[in-house]
Amino acid sequence: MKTKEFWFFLFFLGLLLFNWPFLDIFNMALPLYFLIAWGLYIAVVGFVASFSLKKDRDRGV
Amino acid sequence: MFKGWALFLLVLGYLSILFAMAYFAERREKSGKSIVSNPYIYSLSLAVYCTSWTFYGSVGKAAISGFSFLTIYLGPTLIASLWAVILKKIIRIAKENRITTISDFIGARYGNSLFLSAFVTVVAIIGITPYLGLQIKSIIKTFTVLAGETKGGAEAGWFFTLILGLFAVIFGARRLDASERHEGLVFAVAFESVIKLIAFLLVGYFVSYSLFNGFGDIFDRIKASEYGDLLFLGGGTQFSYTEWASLMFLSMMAIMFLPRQFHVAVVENSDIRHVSRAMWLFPLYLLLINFFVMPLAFGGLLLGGRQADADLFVLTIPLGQGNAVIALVAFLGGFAAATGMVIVESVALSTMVMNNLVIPAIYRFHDMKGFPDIILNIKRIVMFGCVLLGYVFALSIGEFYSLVDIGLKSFEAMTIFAPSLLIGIYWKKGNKKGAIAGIAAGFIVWFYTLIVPAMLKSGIIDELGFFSRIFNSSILDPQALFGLRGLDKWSHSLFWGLFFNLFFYMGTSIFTDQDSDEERQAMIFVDSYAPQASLARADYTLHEIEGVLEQYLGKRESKEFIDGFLLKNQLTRDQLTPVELSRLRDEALRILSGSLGSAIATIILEDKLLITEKERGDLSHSIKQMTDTLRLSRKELEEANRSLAYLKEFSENIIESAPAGIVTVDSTMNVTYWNKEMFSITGIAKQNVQNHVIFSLLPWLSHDIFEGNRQREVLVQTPQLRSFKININPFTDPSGGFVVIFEDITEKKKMEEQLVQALKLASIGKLTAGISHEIGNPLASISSLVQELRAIPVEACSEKNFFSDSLSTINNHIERIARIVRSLGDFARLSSKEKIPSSLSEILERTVGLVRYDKRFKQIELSVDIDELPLVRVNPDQIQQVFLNLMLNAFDVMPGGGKLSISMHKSKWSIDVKFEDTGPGIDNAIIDKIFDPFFTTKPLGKGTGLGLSICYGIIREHNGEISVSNRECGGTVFTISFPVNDKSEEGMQR
Repeated sequence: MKTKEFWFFLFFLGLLLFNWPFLDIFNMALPLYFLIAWGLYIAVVGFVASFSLKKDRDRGV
Repeated sequence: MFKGWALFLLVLGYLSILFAMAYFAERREKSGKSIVSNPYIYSLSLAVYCTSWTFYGSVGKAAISGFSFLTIYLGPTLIASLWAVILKKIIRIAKENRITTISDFIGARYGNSLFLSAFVTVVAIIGITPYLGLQIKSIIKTFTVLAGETKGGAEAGWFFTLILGLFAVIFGARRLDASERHEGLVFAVAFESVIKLIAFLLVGYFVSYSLFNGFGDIFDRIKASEYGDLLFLGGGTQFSYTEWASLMFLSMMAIMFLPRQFHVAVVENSDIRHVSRAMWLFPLYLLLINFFVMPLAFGGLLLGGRQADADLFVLTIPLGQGNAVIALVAFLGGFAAATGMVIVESVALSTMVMNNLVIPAIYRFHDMKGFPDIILNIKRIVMFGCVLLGYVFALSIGEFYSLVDIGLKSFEAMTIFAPSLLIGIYWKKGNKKGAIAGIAAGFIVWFYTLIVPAMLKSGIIDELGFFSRIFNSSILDPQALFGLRGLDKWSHSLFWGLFFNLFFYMGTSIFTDQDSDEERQAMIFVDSYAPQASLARADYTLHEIEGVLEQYLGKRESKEFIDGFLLKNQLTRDQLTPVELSRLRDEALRILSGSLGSAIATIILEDKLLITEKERGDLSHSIKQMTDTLRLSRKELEEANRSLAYLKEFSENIIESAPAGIVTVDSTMNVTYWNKEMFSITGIAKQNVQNHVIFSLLPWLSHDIFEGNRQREVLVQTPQLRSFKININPFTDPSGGFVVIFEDITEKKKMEEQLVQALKLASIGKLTAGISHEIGNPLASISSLVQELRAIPVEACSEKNFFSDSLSTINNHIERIARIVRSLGDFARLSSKEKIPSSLSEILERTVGLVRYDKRFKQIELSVDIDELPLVRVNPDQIQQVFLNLMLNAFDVMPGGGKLSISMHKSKWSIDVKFEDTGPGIDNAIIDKIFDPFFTTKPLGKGTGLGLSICYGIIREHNGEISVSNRECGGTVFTISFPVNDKSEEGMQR
C-alpha cells in the first residue's frame, strides 16, 4: 500500500474509532478508551510520518 | 483578589516579554540563523488553534455535556493524518503562486478573481468576529473575577481591546513587510503555546492531586453524583452521536480554513517537510492540553460550582482555594491563549482586507506623496478595527452565550470555504460562478440559522410583525429549516449550509463555462503545475522596478530589496542582463504580493512595466498555446506513460524473442542489454553481464571491429570453431555506444562447405567420361601388351628386347594412370579452410590439368596469358574449384567447339583473372541473376543452379569480386578480381 493510501485508510479508521458505534461499545470506559485510542492513533501517525520522512530523505527529496 | 492595576501591569509585562521574544527571533532571522525554521516551532505555532475556548470553554463544555468538548480536538487529530496529502498540496500551490491569505487562495484558484477574494474576505470578517469576541469576553470575565470588580468590566474591556490592538499592530504592522512571513510573530505564538500548556497542566495537576486524590477519585465521585451521565455519550445523555459527528466535522474544517490557521500552517511554513512532523506533534499537544479538562470540570462541580459558571472553573477553583499563585498562572495562561489568537487573526484578517478590499480601491493613487505610509496606516487601522469588532460582539451578543457556543458559530462559518477550496484543488471543472454561488448560499444559511437566532435572543432583532411570520413558519424557521426537526442546532446548520453550498457550487460549475483564466488557474491548482515565472521580455530597467517598489513599500525597503538581490546574485547595478532583470522583476512581484496580494501586485507590475502591444499579443498567444498544449492533463499523461510502458515491453519482447543475439554497449563498452539468444550463444546469463566490458565476456571479439564508429559487418570464428556474422551499428545519440547483433552461421558455413565439396564431386562427375577415356586408353594398351607377353614362351631369348620395351611402356602407362588418379584425389579431398599465400597461375595450371580429361577439351582452343604475379592469400582448393567451374561452364556453352581465353593481369590494387569464351553469350534479361542460388538455364535435372552461386560466395569470402558481361563480338567474359593490398603479399613474389 502506498503512503498516500495509508493516510486515507488511517483517517477513515480514526473516523470509525472516534464515532458511533465504537464509542457506544466502549461507553462504560470512555475516559480510558479516549486516552488509549487517541494516544495510539498519534503514535501510529508519528511512526509512519517519520518513516516516510526518512524514506524521502534517503531518496534525496 | 488582585488589584486591577497590578493585573494590567502583569499583562503589559507579559506582552513586553512576548514582543522581546518576537524581536529576538526576527534579529536571528536577519542574521541568517533562524530559530523558527524547524518542525517544533512550526507545530507549536499551529497550537494557536487552542484559544481561551480551550483554556476556559472546554472545561465549561465538559461540565455541561461531558466528553463532547473532545470533538474540537479529535477532529484536527484525524484531519492531521491527511496533511501529508492535502496540506502539503495547499502549501505547494500557495508558495508557487505567491499566495498570502485564504481569500487570495480561493480568488487565485478561480481565475485570479478580485471579486471572489473580496467576497471571501467579507464572509471571513463576519464569520470570525464572534471568535474575536470570544477572546475579549474571556479576558474581560477573567479580569473581573480576579480583580473582583464587576462594574469596571466594560472599561477593562476597552483597555484590553486597545492593548490587544496595539500589540497586534506592533507584531504585524510595524512596517510594510517586504516578505509575507513574520518569523517574530511565529516565535511569539509558539512561546505562547508553551505558556498556556504549562499553565493549564499546572492548574489541572493542582486540582487533581492537591484537592482530590487523582483521576480515579474524581471519576468515582462524579459517577456517584447527580452528574454521573457526563461520563457517557449517546442515548440518555444530553449529547447525541449526530452532534458529536457534526462538531468533529466542524473542527476538521476549522483547523484548515480559519484565517489564522491558514496563515500559520501555509503562509508561515518555511519548509514543507515540517508538515510531516507536525502531523503527530500537533495532535500530541492537543492531547496534553486536554488531559486535565475532565478532572477540572468534574472537580469544579464536586466542589459545588454551577454548570453555568463552569467556563471559569480554571480560575475560580484555585481562587476559591486561596491559591493566588495558581490563579495568576491560570489568568496568564488564559490571557496567552486569547492574545495569540487575537494577534494572529487580526494580522491575517487585515492582510485579507488590505489585499482584497483596500488596495484594489486605492492603488491607482500610488503617485500620492507618502503612499506607502498611507497603506501602512490603513493596515493598522484595519487591525484595530478587527479587534474592535470583536469587542462590540462580546458586549452585544456574547453576553448571552457560552464561550464554546460563540466559537462554534465561527467554526460553522469556516465550513463555507470548504467546498470551493478543497474540491477546487482536485476538480478542474469548479469555476468562479460556482464558487461565488456556493459561498453565498452557505453564508446565507449560516447567517440565517445561527446568527439570526443569536440576534433574536439578544434582542437586536425584535421577533414581531414581519419577522415573526417568517421565523415561526414551518419552512423558514431558522432552527428547523424546511421543517427538518430532531437535529441539534450545529448539525442542522451544518447540514443545510453544506447542502446548499455544494448544490450551488457544483451545479453552477457544471452548467456554466470557465474562461481561459479560470482554465489556466484550474490546471495550475489541480495539477500543481508551476506557472512560468518569467513573462515576455519587457523593455524596463532596474531603476523602473526600484521606482515601483518605492511607491508601494517605501524607499528604504525598496533599496534593501534591490541591494539584497544584487548581493545574493553577485551582480552590480549597471551589469544586469535581460534575463537577470526578468528574475529581479519576478522577485519584485513576490515581494509586492506579500504586501498587496498577488492579483494587485501583478496588475501593478503590468501597468507600470508595460510591454508593447506586440509583445502583449505574443505573450497572450504564447500563453494560449501553452494552455492548449498543457490540456494534456496528468491523467492523460499517465495514460501516455502507460502506452509508453506497453510499447517498451512490446519492443523488449521482440528483442528477447529474436533468433539472433542482440547486445548493446555504451561508449565505455560496458554491456547495457543482453537478450535471451545471447545466453544460448554464450551460456552467460543476463544478470551476470551488467556493467561488464563486452571483451571480458567475449574474449574472442577483436577491439578493432568497433573502431571508426561506423556500421560494419564482420565474420568471426571462435576458438570453439563456431562462426558468427557480427553486425555492428553505432548509436546516433551523443552518449555513444553500439548495437551488436550476433548471427550464428556455423551450421550455414558447414552446409556451404558441404555444398562446395558436392560441387567439386559434381565437377569430377563431369570429367568422368574424359577421365575414363584417359584411364581406359593406357589400360587397353597395358592389357594388349600383357596378352602379347603371355603369348611369348618363357625360354625365348630372342624376344628380350620386346620384353624390355613392353615393360617400360606398361610402367609409363601405370604412372600416367597414377597421375590421373592422384590429381583427381587431390581435387576430390576435403579442402582445408586456410588461406595461404598461393600462386594463381599454378592453381590455373592444375585446373587445366584436370579439364584436359574432359572430352570436349579437344575441341576447345585454349589460350592462356599470364603476367608475373605476386602470391595472394587464398584457399587454393576453393579457387581451383572456381576456375574449374568456369571452365566447365565454358565447355557447356561451346558444345561444337570454340575458344577459351584465360588471362591474369595485375593492376594497382588487384589481380584480375578473365575467362572469355566464344559461346552465344548470356541474355541481358538474366545476366544479373546468374549468380543467384538455384538459378539455371539448363533443363531440369541437368544443373542445380548452385555452381556460380558458390563461386560467388568463395570469391566474396576472399574479399574479391566476380562479374560477368557479354563480349561485343559474342561470347561471355567472367572477371575475377583479387584484392592486392597487403604489402607483405607483394613481397611474396616468386
